[in-house]
Amino acid sequence: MSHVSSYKTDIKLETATGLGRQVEEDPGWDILSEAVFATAEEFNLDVTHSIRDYYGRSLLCDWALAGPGVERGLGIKVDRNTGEVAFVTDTYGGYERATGEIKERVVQNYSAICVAKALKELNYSVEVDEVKHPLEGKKVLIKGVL
Amino acid sequence: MMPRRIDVEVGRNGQVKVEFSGFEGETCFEEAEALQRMLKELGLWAIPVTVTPKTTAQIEDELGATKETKKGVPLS
Repeated sequence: MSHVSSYKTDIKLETATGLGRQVEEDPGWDILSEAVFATAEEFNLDVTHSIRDYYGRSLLCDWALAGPGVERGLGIKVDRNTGEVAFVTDTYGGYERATGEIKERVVQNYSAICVAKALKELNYSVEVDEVKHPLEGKKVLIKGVL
Repeated sequence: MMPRRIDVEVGRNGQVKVEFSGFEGETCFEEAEALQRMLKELGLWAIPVTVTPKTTAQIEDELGATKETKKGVPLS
């Protein structure tokens, strides 16, 4: 029998901390970095390590994406104890939509990179393709053949 | 034997739809669990929302498609 499944996803870097190591050593750390830089390229944003709030105060993050339309930036912080990933931004004044789209794309890119890596680990030959959907935006299609 | 194939569609906000093809018996569910475990190691927690077994007609279509492909291979 074969089947079709759908999943909702969440990013949590627990592998390294579960072994008593630093979260920066987690396999997901490099994947998250790759997803952030891919998103920066897609949205033409800069990658830094701090965001600003409405008052101009700076907040340090593991990664931050900023550029036209998101001048204050969208920050990404990984909890050093739990591995939970948080997206931080000050949306006062109407930044919700722009930062929301960027956050969704980071998560989408992260998921796509993970799926491709996981299938390769399971010995599948993997092909990755991207399509633009008129309503749902970008979709990443990954094919694994064993 | 039909090759095992996994087609994944990653949508907005990381929602994932996975289609398993060419698996015998319950092995597709075992493979789904293996994939979930591997994703979790990489930091991606995939929580199942729906699981839909393929219909007999869908499976027959897959097998038919494979037979067509095999028919097209030239023999020397």
